[in-house]
Amino acid sequence: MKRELAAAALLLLLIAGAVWNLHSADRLNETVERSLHRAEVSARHGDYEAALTALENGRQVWDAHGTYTQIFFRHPDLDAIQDAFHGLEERFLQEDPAWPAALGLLRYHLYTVDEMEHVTVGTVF
Amino acid sequence: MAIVLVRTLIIYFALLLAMRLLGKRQLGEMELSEFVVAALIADLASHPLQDMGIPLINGLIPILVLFCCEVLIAGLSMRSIRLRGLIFGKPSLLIVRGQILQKAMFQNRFTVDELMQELRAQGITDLSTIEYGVLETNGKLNVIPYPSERPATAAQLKLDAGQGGYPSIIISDGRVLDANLRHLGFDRAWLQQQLEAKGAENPEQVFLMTATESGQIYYAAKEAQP
Repeated sequence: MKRELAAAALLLLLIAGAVWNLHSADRLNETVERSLHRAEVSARHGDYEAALTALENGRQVWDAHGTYTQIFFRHPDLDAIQDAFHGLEERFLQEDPAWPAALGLLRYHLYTVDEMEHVTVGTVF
Repeated sequence: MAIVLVRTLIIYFALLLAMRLLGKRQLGEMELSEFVVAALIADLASHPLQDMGIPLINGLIPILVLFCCEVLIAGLSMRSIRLRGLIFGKPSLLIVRGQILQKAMFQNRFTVDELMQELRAQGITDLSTIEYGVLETNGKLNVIPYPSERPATAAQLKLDAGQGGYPSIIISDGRVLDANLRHLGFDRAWLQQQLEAKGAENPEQVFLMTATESGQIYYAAKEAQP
């Protein structure tokens, strides 16, 4: 009976861990998204310096969760996010009017990673 | 390379622990759910080792979940006959008093060739000597011959078969297993007497020595190293 109870407790712990992971991924994505939104507003007003600062804040938040993301997310997805951060940074530095495409790509990769953690019919199957 | 090494070690010990905790059954004795879990665990564990892009936790979590489910199902099925029948199935009679139950054979997808193969493996060539043939839930066919076809026992023959007893290893490759010696109720002094009687000076000269509680001994001296 002890073994079954331990297994049930471990299973509950794993379920709790999965729920915690889901919230953590959502929180991280929302925090980064807030920075990206600030960067977007600044860039639309032509203030690329402020856009770069906001983007850098978002990147710092993302990098600060490096251990968490490396443990739970697929590494090729993380590489794609880093590349997208770098791509958007380049666009802002060059004041390239094509930055919305780079921002869209970064948002897409962040959304994909977060979406993978959500239990939906689409992600399960 | 170091990452591969560390990942492999982690997966290896996780698998070892999971399989150890799951039980001691041999592959051929596994129930259906146990076989599914064993096959799945082995496959799941290999993916994070082959692809460094997959987080290790993606290999460990399925192992843990399968382990928990298997322990829970095994525990619950111990307490519920209905659940046990539902998950593991029930034994099927394929032969009754020498007659093959063809409907049961068909229901269990058991062919005549397989039946004959199983019977030959058990040294049976005459179906009419079988009282019952039972297909167990682990896929093994157990055969019960008619009483007149079963080997006679010592009791039936009114013979003195002597004392039995479980032979415990007390010296393995020169090393004395004191726990087994104590369990049998003997001590080192008794062991030394037995060794001297066999012509050995010390345990290092013994390859294998077993004893039963009644003092029946098997002795094999260590051969000289080439």
